[in-house]
Amino acid sequence: MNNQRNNDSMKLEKKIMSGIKSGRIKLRSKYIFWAQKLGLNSAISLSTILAVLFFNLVLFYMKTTDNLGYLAFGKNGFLAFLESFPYLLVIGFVLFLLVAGYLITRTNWSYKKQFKYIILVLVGIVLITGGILASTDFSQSIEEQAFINRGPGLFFKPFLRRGMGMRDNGSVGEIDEIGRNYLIINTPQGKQYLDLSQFEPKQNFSEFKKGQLVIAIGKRKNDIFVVDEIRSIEKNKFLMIKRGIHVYPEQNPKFLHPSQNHFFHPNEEVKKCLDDCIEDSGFNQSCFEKCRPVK
Amino acid sequence: MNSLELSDEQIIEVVRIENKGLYSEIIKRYQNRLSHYLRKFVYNPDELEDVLQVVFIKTYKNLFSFNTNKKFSSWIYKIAHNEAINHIKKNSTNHQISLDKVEYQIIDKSVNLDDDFDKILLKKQIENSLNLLKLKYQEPLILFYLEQKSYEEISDILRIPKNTVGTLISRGKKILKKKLIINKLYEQSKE
Repeated sequence: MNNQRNNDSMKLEKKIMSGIKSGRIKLRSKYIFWAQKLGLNSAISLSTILAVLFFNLVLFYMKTTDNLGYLAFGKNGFLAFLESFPYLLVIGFVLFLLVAGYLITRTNWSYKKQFKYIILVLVGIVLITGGILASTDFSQSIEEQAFINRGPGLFFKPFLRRGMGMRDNGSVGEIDEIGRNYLIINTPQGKQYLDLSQFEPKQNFSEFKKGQLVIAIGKRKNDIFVVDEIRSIEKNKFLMIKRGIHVYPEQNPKFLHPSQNHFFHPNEEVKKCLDDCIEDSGFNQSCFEKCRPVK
Repeated sequence: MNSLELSDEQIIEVVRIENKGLYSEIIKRYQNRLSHYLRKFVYNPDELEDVLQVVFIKTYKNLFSFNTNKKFSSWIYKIAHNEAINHIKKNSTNHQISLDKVEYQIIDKSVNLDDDFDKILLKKQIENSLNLLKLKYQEPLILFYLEQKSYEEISDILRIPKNTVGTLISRGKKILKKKLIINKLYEQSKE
């Protein structure tokens, strides 16, 4: 039995060594292993940096868009909050965090530590760095690059675009015109009609001033937004939206300019027509169609 | 210098740089040990030889990825372990652990069970019960009790934290004991 085993051992050793000596079995080059190690480390660094960037942009988005503003309306504003939530940014953040975590487990040192501690440290690093970055001008420069279509920030455009998107359950913008029971506001998508006929109390209308930033919840019906609740906003809030109204249309020809994209430029004649129409047939789309000046 | 005086790690340095023939010394040193370990997962002697050959070839091909500041034995066991797992996955038929004489002696010393157990029956039952354990408990139990590896080495071979090795061994032992007691009660009820 033992002799048989020894013979088998000798055979195996001979077989492998003849393969090595003949060059059939070769050592893989050390450069392949270096490249693998370098690739893995680069992938870990890149995914961690992207996780930091995405987290930073999530914070920035929430700070500079209308998203959190809708929560001030309580449960009535929840739909608008969900509609304006930066899903893509959050998905990107979680995805890159998971990728970084997974890649770390492929390293030679990680198995010595508990996976939950590695993830905890990684999340800590990403949250702290992302938080610090959010308080700098870095995110704003990414936003500017994204909307002026210049620089590496352009990569983030699909993720930030939602910040200035049209919403069905909420609207935010700067007051351009104040009518009897309607407002026209400038938004990053152009002018927006706010129907205030459903809104109580009416006496609040007098508080509105041209140029004031307002946020509203309600329901969109084609070009008209029927307001359930509306509030004025401090000037230094929703800065991304303000830049979408004032800065980007000037700098980016492809960006919608409030005066470019709308059929309605209210003047005294148009306003009178609109007021009369609303008086007769109520606030509806046809009034705007009827009073629209010929381009 | 005589190759017998060199450590595994020193031999690897030499094989990588100047003398590939010295790899035969590694085969000599590990063939029986790895064969003994792999037998817990691969039962067919021909298949066992094939797996063992793959292990030595893979080890040789990847010698440059080995860090000579670490323990070579843990590294080669890790490769053997991965190959064994691959083999089990490929041949998904239930694998049966069979212990040899020396391993039975080790079990006698290591596993603390009630003394009134019939020793021969107990050994057979341990063999059967070990087969019923999940692979995640089997692996550390085999490495610790039958291959006499330290927690540190098992951690390197299975790529899990040292604390987890301890936990898996202790849980595996408890499950094994429970299974043995159930077997004993079953046998008694038959009588």
